Amino acid sequence: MTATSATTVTSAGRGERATARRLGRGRLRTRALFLGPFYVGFALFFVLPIGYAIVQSLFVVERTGGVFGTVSTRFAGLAQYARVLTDPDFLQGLGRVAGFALIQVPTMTAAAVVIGLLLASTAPRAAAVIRSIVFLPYAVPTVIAGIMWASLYQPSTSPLDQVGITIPWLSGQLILVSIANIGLWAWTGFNVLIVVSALTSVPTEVIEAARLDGASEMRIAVGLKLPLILPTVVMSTLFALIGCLQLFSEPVILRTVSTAISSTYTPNMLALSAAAGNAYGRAAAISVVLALITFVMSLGLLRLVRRAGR
Amino acid sequence: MSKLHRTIAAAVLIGLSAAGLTACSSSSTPGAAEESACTPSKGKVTLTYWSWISQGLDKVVASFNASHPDITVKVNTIVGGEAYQDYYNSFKAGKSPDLGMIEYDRIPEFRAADRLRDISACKPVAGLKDRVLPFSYDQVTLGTDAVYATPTDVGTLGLYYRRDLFKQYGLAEPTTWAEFEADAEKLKAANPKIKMASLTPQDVSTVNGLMWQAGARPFSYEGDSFALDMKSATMTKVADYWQRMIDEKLIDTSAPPFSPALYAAWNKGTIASYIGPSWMSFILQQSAAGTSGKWGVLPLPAWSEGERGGGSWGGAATSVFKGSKHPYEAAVFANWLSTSPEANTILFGGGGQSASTKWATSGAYDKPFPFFGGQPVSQVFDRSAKETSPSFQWAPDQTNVNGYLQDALAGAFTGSSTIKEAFAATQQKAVADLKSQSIPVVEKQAAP
Repeated sequence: MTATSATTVTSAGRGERATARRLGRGRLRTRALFLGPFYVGFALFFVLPIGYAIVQSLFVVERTGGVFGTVSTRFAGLAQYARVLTDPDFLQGLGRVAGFALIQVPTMTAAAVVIGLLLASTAPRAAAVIRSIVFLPYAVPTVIAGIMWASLYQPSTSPLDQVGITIPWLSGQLILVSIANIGLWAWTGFNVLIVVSALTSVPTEVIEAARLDGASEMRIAVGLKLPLILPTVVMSTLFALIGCLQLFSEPVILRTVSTAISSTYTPNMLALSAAAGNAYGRAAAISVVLALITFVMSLGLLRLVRRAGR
Repeated sequence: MSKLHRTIAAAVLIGLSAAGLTACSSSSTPGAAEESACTPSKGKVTLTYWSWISQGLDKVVASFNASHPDITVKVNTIVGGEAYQDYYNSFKAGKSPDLGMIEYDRIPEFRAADRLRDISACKPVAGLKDRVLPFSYDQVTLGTDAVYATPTDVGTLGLYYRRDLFKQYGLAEPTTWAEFEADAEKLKAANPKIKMASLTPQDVSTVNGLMWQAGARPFSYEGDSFALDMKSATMTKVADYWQRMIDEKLIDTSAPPFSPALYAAWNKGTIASYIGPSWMSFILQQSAAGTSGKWGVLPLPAWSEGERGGGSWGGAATSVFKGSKHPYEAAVFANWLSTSPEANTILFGGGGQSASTKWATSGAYDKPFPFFGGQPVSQVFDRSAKETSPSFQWAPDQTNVNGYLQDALAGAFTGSSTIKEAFAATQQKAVADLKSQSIPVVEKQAAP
């Protein structure tokens, strides 16, 4: 769910280029002053930790003298990576995340676009109220949302069950849908905001011209507004897809009430359970592989979007 | 900045957050250095102690500091369950506390990571064996001459039951598992909406306790090796029994521990009994206050008449970590916290189960609980503690083993496999995990 970083990065990118042209070369010091804090933070909290994780991932634990013998760490090259990439738990975890993404992202995007377009044709005051209501779940911390939904899904506490409708939300067949539903609930409002803000940048002259030509509101929404906001929608969809790789809190919470979620359900959970078992090297290798996948996907998608935007 | 660079920077920004997860951990140089002798330090000593004791922690530490002018204990509250990650991180950072609270089932894991100081040579813990429950002593010595912690509290299992429901449906208080099953069948025939008990894959710790009580020894140590025996005849006996309870729909399998579903089942009376440790009585009283007076506690049913046995879930010990510069003073605190009447009064005055044998004879366990209809339930748990066999040990990767077991049990509870198969699957995963940690492992042969 990295739609925020996506939009800020691109808009900041364009703005920065324009500023650079205006400032010329003489203002390097000012630039350093303004940008420095970012790069310091970037180095401290991104470059350094990942460098450290990479170093960690190259070591394995060794012991001599049996189970309670002496413990030492040994450089093992890419051995941890070989294990991660052939680990059925890791590959299955990736598969589950993909399944989650396929359910959650298209539903969320469709819902956000429809709600966004409807809001654009609603009276401004009512639209503001509805927008806030739709956005509210986003403000609920994921863990709280997870606990809430866990209660709603459990037969003994589910309101649906009280009126006699039993749906096995926590069973192996439905669990991905149930997890995706939490994501849908939490993130749709955020994406509605993106759609709405994209819609505000649609020039009013264009819409007025269409209206003068006799186009219906429906026609304007589908034939005019939708194509104009499409790049933004595609962008936020792609970043939502990448964000799915981070799936963690929802399944962890639901695991306490569901038999369908294993301790290694998603790659992030696998990394955590490795670290909890004191296998730091393996946990680091899993994290680095995840980071690489995310990196490659982000890079590819960004270039794709850039090309499409031109 | 070129376009490509910018693209990379943007991607890095997004991608790197994925790596943040484990990056805070640090490189390791275990405290393998030779241990100093355990002698008193000169002058005043300050010790750091990490704990998740929820009631009376500050008070007990203040009491110690007041009565020991040369030792100042500084306490750091950690969260139970996440504590082990905190410890491992502190070890990696080379900033481990002097002392820490640790559950018995994690002691072999910390020992295998070579982080626990053997305090058997420290004078303050001399004779510890006679001051604590026998089974808890073997849990901290791993059956050796070393002492890796002082047992502080324990949580032996008992059978919480609804007296009112038992009376209503004419159920006898079970003394054996066969009687327990007969009760369950009788209850099902009378009212299929009420189940005899509750068990879920999340109840791994209860399942471990049931293995223990039955006399199974799935984990043991043979010389330099760790031995796994999850396919033994006794393990199979436990597995088959609970498999039958699941298959015959005699137990509720939808109410995991600490879940709203379980609290609802307690409150609505949809389960007639609950297998739980002594400390579960606190949670029961809080979460089902409306059922006060209806509950009672029985010892776990026995497998055969006269051989009741017992098992424990949780409870914690106090360990001194390698690297502590003041092992002697740390041992003074650990011993005082676990076995002194002053500390026990603060920690267990309101209930709970001490590992100290002196506390058991202090009369504290005679206290009647209105919630349990005036029954002095601590006596039941104390009796179980005395009947709990000392020879049970835990795996050197118990965190992972518990995870494997929960994952495997999920299949058994949803009908795609059996508990027996789950035990075998857990053993298989544990062997692979132990090998990856270069821990020598022996697999016992399956029962014929």
